[in-house]
Amino acid sequence: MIQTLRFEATKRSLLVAAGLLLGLALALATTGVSWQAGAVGLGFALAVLTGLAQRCSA
Amino acid sequence: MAAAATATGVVFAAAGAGVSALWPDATLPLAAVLGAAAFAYALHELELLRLPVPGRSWQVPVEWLRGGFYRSAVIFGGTVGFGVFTRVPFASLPILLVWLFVSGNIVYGALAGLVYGVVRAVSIYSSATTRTPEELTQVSQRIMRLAAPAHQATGLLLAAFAAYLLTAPYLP
Repeated sequence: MIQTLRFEATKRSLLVAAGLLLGLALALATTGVSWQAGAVGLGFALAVLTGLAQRCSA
Repeated sequence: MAAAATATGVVFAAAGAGVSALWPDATLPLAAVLGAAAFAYALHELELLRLPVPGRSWQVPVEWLRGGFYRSAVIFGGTVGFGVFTRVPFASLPILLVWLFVSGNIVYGALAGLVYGVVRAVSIYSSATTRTPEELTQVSQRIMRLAAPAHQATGLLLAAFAAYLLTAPYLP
């Protein structure tokens, strides 16, 4: 039980780290381009994911 | 549902465009604040932090849905599609709406709202092939089992959005 909880906590922490690295990589990849352009893409990704996710709790 | 979501996107983007017109230098500080909020809500979605998510517990009253199929569909889809009148179980929705406000681009607000509304409506069709209440219950249970992975995916994307907003504007 404790091992399961530790695994879950580690997994969630890794997801945060992976997300931060993903955002940083995208920021570096779009260097020289308007920062709003990359944020627009991420905004669309948020729109798609949020639309799909909302159904899971309906 | 898609039309209501589009309208919501337009309203937030238009409000942001108004603010940008009055205070042209506000975009960068607002993006930084949104980045910090996105990071906090990423921790919330991954259950590492507990935060209140803006939203209401109100549901579309059953009496509103007793006027025929098409009338009920328009009322239910229209009300739920706005996203801000009913329960908001995922913190990515308020972050998305605030981002549309910060972007201040009405066309983008309309498109992002439309994408959200269409994707949310399309997922409903997964239950369209059911014939009995039992089948519908099974489909709903299967979909609801995806809630935990959906929260984790949302947390991942919010963390990425946070890192992007907090670094990209300051890179050369």
